[in-house]
Amino acid sequence: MTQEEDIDGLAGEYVLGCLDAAERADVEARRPLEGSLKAAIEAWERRLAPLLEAAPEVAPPPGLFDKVLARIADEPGRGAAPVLALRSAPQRRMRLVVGAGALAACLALAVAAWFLYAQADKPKSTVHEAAMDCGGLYKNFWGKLDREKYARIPAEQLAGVSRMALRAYDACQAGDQLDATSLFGRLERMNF
Amino acid sequence: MPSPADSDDDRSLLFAVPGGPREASRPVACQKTQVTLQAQSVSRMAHLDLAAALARVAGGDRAALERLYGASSVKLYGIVQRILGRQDWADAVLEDVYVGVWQHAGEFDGARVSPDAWLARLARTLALDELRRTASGSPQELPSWYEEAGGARQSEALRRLSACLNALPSEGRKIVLLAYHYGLTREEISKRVGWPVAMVRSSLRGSLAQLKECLGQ
Repeated sequence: MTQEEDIDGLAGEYVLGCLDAAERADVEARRPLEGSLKAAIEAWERRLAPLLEAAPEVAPPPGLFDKVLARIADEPGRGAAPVLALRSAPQRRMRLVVGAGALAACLALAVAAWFLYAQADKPKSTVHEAAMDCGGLYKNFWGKLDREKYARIPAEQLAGVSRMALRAYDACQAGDQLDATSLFGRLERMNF
Repeated sequence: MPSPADSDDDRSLLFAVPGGPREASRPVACQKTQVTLQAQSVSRMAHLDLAAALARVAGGDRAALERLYGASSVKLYGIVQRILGRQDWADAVLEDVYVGVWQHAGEFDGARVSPDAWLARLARTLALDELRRTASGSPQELPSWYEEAGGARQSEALRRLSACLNALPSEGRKIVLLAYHYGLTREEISKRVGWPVAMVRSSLRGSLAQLKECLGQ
């Protein structure tokens, strides 16, 4: 892959539906975080939507709507509430994702808070500073985010940021400089 | 960029266009309803109804959800079943779709997308997610009509898109439609058309770039 990623091609392939599970999950994690990817996906959805006119019409089995009703029996409509952005995952997975997202967000906040305190309280000579640039890059990224912004980012997005930062760190540790540089670069450019 | 009004025009036929003649020959597990709606006026009404129903669903109106289901489930089930190819999976995903509609109707923004396109996108995304999770492989049999996009009665938007698809080399067009209608991965397409995966990938990227250029947007 070239260093300059073909965002439009990736978005097109995502909308076409030909990405494998891992690639698809990656795009879905990046989508809420990267404006250009999100816009490219929406543009491809618009371009290709007319094809759905030709989709067959098939009556669902009778009784299916009753199952829907049973599943939402305990839920008041949450549509109007400012819930997490729709990631369009099935509910089973959506709950998992949201749960995991919240957990990851807590972890991210804890880590970030730890760094902030560590920076404020300790003199400059921290243990890992000299060891590896990866740690420095990772810390630097979290250190630069401001706390007020955290509060405004939905948990799911924050979890995505956290995942991407960890991937960047892992890539760096594994010696994959290209990947690490690209990921850290992407994190830097993120606009919350 | 087309104006929002143009876009709405382009998409509003989604739930109103009956299957083309070729689809009648497709073996399907479920009974098909031969809904023959009379083109645009009906679709516009359905279009308005869907948006209003979504707003009511967002407010917690179960009856509105039922009306929405009545107006859209035949189309969405068709989309989902074509991707998944199995009735039990399609049933589960269609359930997910309407539970998702119940939970997220408030996020629908009529200024940005038509209600039918919003619903279809939700259905397609959930079906593709399920397909990737179950890793079921490609459908056993493909109907013969996949090489052509669209039926006899087409909206202006579909005519434009079909013209651009028809300008692609025939294998390239076939690959694009296999991906879009059945959610086949590059690997699955590669097995089906007998090309190396890398070649499928470059064909897809090339076709996408050509389509974008041809559509001029």
